[in-house]
Amino acid sequence: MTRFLCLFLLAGKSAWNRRGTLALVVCSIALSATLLLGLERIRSQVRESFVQAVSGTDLIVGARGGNLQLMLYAIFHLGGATHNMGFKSAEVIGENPEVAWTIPISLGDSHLGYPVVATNHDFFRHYKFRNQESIAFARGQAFDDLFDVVVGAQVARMLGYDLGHEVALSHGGGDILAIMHDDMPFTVRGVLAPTGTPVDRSLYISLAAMEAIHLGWQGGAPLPGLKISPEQASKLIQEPESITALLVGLERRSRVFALQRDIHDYREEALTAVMPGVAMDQIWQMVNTGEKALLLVSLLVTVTGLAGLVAAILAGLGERRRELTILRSVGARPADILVLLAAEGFLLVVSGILLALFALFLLLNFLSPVLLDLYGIVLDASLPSLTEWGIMGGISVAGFCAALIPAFRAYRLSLSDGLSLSR
Amino acid sequence: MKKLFLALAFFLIAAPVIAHKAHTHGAARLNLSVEGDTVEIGFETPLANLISFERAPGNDKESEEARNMAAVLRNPATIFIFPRNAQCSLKTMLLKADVLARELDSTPYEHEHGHEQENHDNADGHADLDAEFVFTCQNPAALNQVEVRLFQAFSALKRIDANLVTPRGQKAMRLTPRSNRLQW
Repeated sequence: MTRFLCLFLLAGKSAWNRRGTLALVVCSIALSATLLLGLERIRSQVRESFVQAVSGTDLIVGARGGNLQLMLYAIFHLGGATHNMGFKSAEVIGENPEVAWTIPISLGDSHLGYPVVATNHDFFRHYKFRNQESIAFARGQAFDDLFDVVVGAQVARMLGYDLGHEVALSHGGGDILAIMHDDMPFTVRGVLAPTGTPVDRSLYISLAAMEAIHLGWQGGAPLPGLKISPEQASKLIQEPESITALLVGLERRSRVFALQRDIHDYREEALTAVMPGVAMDQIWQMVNTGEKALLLVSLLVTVTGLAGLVAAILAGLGERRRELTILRSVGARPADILVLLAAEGFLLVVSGILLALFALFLLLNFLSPVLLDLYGIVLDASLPSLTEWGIMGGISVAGFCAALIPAFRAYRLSLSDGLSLSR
Repeated sequence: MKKLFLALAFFLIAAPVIAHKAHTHGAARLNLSVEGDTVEIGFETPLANLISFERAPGNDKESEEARNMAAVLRNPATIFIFPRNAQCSLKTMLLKADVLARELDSTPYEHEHGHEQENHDNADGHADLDAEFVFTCQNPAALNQVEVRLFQAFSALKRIDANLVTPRGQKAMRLTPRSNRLQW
C-alpha cells in the first residue's frame, strides 16, 4: 500500500517537473469536461425551471391551435398566439364544479422588452409555482385602480422601479420604435417577490386596463385626432371580449382528462385545453434529438481531450527514458513503472476535472443572471447532481484507461532497456 | 377596436364546433390518473389495432374474433401490471365500441353531450374502441409504475401515447413494444 502511495507521490513530483506541457493537457481535459458537465447542467435545469413554472396549473385553455404554442405563449411569453378565446367561454369554464380556480390572461403589450400581462386578482390568489408556492408581494399590493401596475421582481431590479413609479407601456413587442401608450401612464402599485419563473420578468395590469389602453386605437395604431383621457377611459371600458388564455386549477387534479374532453367538445367555440406537464414532455421529446446530438459532440470533444493526454504522455516517454531507467536502477520493478505512468494519467485527468468544476461554477455564476434576465430560466450553482458525479467518474475511469496505453509502452521499454541508455 | 370587432364576429358566426379525434392505425392513446388509492385508466384505440376489421361483424367468425378480443381486455390484471406491494385490484371497467355493441354485451354508447360527434364511427369507414378501468390500491404509496402488456396481446398495436396525472404531476410518455412501462 505504501508502495502505491509512494509511486503516486513520485508520479506527482515527476509531473510537476514537466508542468509546462502537462498544464496544457490538463486544460484541454478541463475544457472538454466543462462542456460535458455544463451541457448536463443546462439540460436538467432548463427543464426543471420550465416545469416549475407550470407545476401548479392543471390546464391551459385557449383558442384551438398548437398546444405547445399556446403553453409557451401563455406561461413563458415566448412566440405568439394565433387567436384569442372568448371571455364568455372562460366564464363558462369557471362555473364548472370541477374547477377550483381560473386565471384569465391577456397578452400583447410590453414594457422595454418585458411582457405585460393583463389578468385579475385571481392571479395573485391562485397562481402556483414550484411546489405549490403562491405569489407573494415584496412591497405594495395587487393593482386596484385602473392604471395600477404590479411588476415582477426582476423588472423592478433591472429597471429600478419601486412603488409610485410612473410607467408607459408600449404596444406590441417592445422595440424602440413601438408606439407608446404614453397618453395613459401607469403607476407601480406592487412589486412581487422573486419566484424563479417568468413571473419575475413580467408586468401585471388588470384586464380592464388592457382594454382601456386600446380604446381609441384602430388597426393597431392610435386614431389621429382622437384623444381619450384616462378619466374618459375609466368610464368607457367594459368587460373584455376576449382573452389570450385561461389557466385552470381543479378541485381534484385527476379529473383533468374529463375536463379536457369537455372543453374540446365545447360547442360555442373551438377551444383547446393543454395539460402543461404533458405539453412540456412533448417539447422535450422533440428537443431530445438535438440534445443527443449535442451530447455526442461533447463526448467526442472529451475523447479528443483524452487522446491529447495519451499523446502527451507517449511523446514524453522518449525524454523520460533516463528517468525511468534510473528508477529501475534503484530498484523499481517494471510493474512499478506501469503504475507510475497510469497514476500520472489519472492525476492529470482528476486535476482536469477539478479545474472543470471550478470553471463551471464560475461560468454559472456569471451566466445565470443573464439567462434569468433573458429567458427567465434559473440555473443555480448547486452541488453536482448524481448524473454529474457519474459523468466525472466516467471521465476519470476513461482517463485512467487511456493512460494505460503509454503505461504499457513504458513497461515494455523498461523491460528491454538496460542502463546502456544512460549516457 | 379591430380586436373587439373580430371577437364579436367570431361569436356571431361560431357554428357548433365538432372535434374529430385522430384515428391512426397502430397508435392508441392512454390516460392514467392516480388520486388517493384510485387508479383510473382510459384506453382509446382504433379497432384495427385489436381486430382485423372496423365495422359490425359480418359473420360468426368475426363475432368470435371480437369476443376473444373483449375477453382479453376484460382481464385487465394481465394487461396492467402494478407493483405487487401496491396491492391493486380492479374495481370497475367498461368497454365501448359502437359497431361491436352485441359482442361487447353493452348498449350503444350514449352520447354524453347530446350531439352527434366523433364516436359515430363507420361513416368514414373507421371505428374506435374506448375502454375504462378503475383500480383501487391498498398501498398507493408503493405505486410508481405500471407495465402495459397490450402489445403482447395485440400485435397490430405499435405505439401508445400516454398522458399521466399522478401525485408527482403531469407527464407524457410514449410506449412501444420495447418500452412498455409507465413510470412516475
